[in-house]
Amino acid sequence: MDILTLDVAERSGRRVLMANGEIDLATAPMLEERLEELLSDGGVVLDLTAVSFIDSTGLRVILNAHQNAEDQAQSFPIVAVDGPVMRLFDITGVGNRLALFSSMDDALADE
Amino acid sequence: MSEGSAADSFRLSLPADPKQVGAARLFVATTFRMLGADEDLVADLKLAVSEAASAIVRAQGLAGRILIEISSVASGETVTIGPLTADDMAADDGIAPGDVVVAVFRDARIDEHKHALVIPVNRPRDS
Repeated sequence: MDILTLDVAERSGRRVLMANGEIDLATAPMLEERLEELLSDGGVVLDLTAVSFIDSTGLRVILNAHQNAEDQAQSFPIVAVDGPVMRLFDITGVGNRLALFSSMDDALADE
Repeated sequence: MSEGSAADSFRLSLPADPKQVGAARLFVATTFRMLGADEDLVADLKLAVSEAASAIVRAQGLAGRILIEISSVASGETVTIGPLTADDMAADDGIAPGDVVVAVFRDARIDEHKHALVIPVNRPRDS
């Protein structure tokens, strides 16, 4: 059962990785691999608005990607709205460490 | 258990495989929806069970099992998931699964005798 799909699109000259489904122990490695690829090739905006579930395994992947982006002096904007993603960011207190945006337009404007 | 009341019990045993962590969440979500829980509680239960089931998979490997029991009595439900130790729920690199569970269920604890995580669930009742 494939519970996470990842699609890449070009928006305003930037690549956007759109995650749809659940991010957990089974699917986090897929996300990790795509983020590593895209971050090593110019950067990415991560769209989590269609993520219906995430736990700390998925969160760890996002934090590692954020760190990798920082190490490469890249921005790593993340689009997330109220729901399971923001709930996990809130209860773990990591939200303020990430570049979070509630809309894609705002994320694309991030340098 | 309260006096004279029989506990309803729901059990599931799964292979300790990453692909089964979603099945553990589905079992808990389906059972609690059937018991009348609201979606906020179901979301928190899915998160807690996912953290615990992932910790079991990491600790046990593919030869192990994820054992989940939901017991329901008049005073509330309890979710028991194992086998788990406090070490299994500790942080390996920053975010401890155990901290996430306690953030959503303050009274959750590792029961060393049961070798499991026990999550008492308090929720408003219709009657």
